[in-house]
Amino acid sequence: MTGSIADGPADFRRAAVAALADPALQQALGRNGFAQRRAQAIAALPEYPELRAAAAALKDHVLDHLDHYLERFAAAVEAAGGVVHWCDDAESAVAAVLGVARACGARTATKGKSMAGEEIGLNAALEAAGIRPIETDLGEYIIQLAHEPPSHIIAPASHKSMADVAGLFRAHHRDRPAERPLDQAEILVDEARTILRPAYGVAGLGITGANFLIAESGSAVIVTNEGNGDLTQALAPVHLVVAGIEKLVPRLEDAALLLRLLARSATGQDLTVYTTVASGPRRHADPDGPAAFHVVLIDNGRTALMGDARKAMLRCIRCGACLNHCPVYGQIGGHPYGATYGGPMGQVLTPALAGLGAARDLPQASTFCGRCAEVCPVAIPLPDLMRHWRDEIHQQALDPPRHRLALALWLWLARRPRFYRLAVRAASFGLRALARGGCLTAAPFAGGWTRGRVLPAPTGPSFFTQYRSGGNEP
Amino acid sequence: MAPRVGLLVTCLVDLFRPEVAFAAMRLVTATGATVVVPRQSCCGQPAYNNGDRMGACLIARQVVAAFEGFDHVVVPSGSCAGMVTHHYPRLFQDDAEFGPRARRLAARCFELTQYLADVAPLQPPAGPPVTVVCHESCSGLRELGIGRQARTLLARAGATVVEIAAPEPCCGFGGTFCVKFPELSAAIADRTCRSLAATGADLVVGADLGCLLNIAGRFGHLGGGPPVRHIAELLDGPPTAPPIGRS
Amino acid sequence: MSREAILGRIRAQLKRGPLEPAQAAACDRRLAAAPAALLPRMAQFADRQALTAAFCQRLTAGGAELRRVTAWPAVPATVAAMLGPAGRPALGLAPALAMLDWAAAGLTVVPGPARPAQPAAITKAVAGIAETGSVVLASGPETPVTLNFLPDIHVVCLEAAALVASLEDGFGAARAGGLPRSITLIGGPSRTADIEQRMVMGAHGPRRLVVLLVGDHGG
Repeated sequence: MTGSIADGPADFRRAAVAALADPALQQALGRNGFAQRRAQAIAALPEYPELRAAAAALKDHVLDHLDHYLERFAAAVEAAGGVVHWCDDAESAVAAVLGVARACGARTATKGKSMAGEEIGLNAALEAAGIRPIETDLGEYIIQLAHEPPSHIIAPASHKSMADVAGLFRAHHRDRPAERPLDQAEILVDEARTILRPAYGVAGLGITGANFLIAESGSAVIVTNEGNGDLTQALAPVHLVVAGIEKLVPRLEDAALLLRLLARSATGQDLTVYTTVASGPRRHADPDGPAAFHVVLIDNGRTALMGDARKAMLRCIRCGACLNHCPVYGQIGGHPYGATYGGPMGQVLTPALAGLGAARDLPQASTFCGRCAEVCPVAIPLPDLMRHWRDEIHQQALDPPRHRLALALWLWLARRPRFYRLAVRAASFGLRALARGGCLTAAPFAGGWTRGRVLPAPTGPSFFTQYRSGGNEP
Repeated sequence: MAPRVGLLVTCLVDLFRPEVAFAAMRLVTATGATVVVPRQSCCGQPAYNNGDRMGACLIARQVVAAFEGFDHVVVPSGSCAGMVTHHYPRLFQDDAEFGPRARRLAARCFELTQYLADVAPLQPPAGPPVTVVCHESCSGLRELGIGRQARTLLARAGATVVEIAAPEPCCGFGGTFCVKFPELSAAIADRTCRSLAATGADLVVGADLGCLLNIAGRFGHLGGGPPVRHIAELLDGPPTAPPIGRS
Repeated sequence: MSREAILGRIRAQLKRGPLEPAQAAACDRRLAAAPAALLPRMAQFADRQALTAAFCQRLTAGGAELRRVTAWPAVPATVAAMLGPAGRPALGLAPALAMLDWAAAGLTVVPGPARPAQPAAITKAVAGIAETGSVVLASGPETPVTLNFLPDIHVVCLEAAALVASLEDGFGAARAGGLPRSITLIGGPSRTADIEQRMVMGAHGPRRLVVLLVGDHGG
């Protein structure tokens, strides 16, 4: 089973309905234990509220002075012997990576997990250029074999079952015995390890993302549990970092603050197994490490968020907590969002990256329950930012005409309480006339509601009808 | 002197369950207040949550004007109370006239259980010894920070309150979300219904009719599940109306 | 040029030009020195003994194996005992530890970066962080970075005196003599939960992390 993959964010509702009907996906979504583990980790950190406030303030400070910190970062990378590539959009970022790959003659590129790489469509571009990308994070490797996008920003293959993975390994690892047992996670992990090990040494280019970029030193910080990101960057002759411009923090100590929140919010660990700070290429006396160091800095729509309240979205440290606590994501997984980033953070980010027209359904697909904002370690008010997009959608008349008409009609009535009461009175009468046994199984204008629910009928004439007839009209 | 309390009926209660408003009136009256129901339509959430800020402002002005003269405003709904207390001040943040008026109103506006538990404590009449499970609305929990109040009142009425295993599940109603994404809304309701039913409670109660319509609507579609009522009905003595969605 | 375009968009959105000199200077001061850290209680310790105990407890909770060794000369024999048969082939060794008598413990070591087929590598950490139970490894001529990731068994020697309280202290220790090209905090063996959220050890990096805490500071 592949889950339901939207062709793009515009396809959200169709893909969401298909995802609801996919039993394998539903089973996989039931396995998500991140929320529980996060709760335990946060409960063990009494200073969490203060750390969260400090982290939000830190990111806000950086964003308010981002131009300055970016310039200082670039200068520090160059001073350490690295190269910075400033990229306006996905195309220029891809071109920068391909330029580096061609210059170093890479035939294969190992890749640590990078959502920025996903965002710019890096694998497809490398393949088209004749350079074989090899994902080394196990989850990313699995979905690369399946030719699927990630379904979760920290657990990209979480929609796959063990049997799915076994099937993919049988289909792709053809030099292995066909009848070998692949019925345990340990066996599958070991096979992936054996297959991927040689790749690190032969790759001409090692590509990683960055969890944080350090302005003072020009460093890229990555966190992993597998160690794949470290093998990728330590063994390749060229280390290339792909990262959004919002990853900047001033100093290494600032990364320490965010590290205290990141893993706890993501997987419930106090800290990931590996946290690596990479600063420039191999130095004069170093016996190993990459000989060249490149940083591809990506805007790709991020600066468009910086002019108003949506700037807070750029605080995001990609922990995935909002996905893990979202009732909508919990029902459908990440693919129906039709974009690199699913769940609440993607519902705010994708319209900036993909355009509001294509992504107009995403900010609407929320009950505004508020759990995402509540668990966000950098206090991004995600529902408020979705509402911000809804304001723009409405202003630009991107919402469906029948929704606009219904809203306009309702508004006309709501502004005229006398007419409003008459309309409610009529609706009450009509619904009661159609009701059987206290509810309706079909109703005009409520077809969507009654497909999966009955519509409880009004118990009698509207409140204001009864109140007035009781002589209580104010 | 008895405080004058304005009742914001809410549009769902007005249309679907007038008993809730009448019960709320009696409960607030029992605290010694004088309850008044001024001319009103809706709090403006449909406009506010669908991108029509201008429309939301127009309606919010109506509500501010209609309710600012009262000592307190009581709302039998967490999301409408959250709209008034949490979102009106933001809506009028830069409005020199309505900003201060909205903030004053926000400070005096309470969700019903909040009012009956914290502001004007009520001893409800003893009800039947039922086991109930409370569904918290997300607005109540996160915008108003309430939840304890409903349990306190239910306990005072002699009910046994049981808790669901998974904390704070959204019911999937979400205002217009429930008709824009009906399949998702029903699927989320399904998960909530299962955890509510698993408690074995005799009755599901809540303080937001939107959530309760969604939950009762899903139980009705599945053809089972415990009866569902608004908390005001239970606190007001033996309910006369059938449970939500039943006859 | 994209650089100017990006900086220009940021400034336009923030409705200002380049930072005023005073603001730029304030940012540069922020770059030159970190503000006071907000340290959680789990990064604060009454004394060395509590700090050491927390480090040992949190490191082993992360799946690492830990041995206390009284002095450096005892390290090779302890490593040999811990590795058992896995210590028979030639082992990778950080040149920083080349002065120890490995041969006397029956171990064959190859100082330098990791080579394929080495079952284990022995390296030296610059610090250990009690807050997280992590060892801090800095790359350099004496401590090649590949030793940390390639072999199946990673043996890390750490002076008990080099234990520090917090992440900030750990970074500080690593850069005390200038920022190394790479700093890695390691809290246990490599692992993954990417298949059905089941935790499996030994994903890509070492399957075992063995830490030798050398010296008896803090009891």
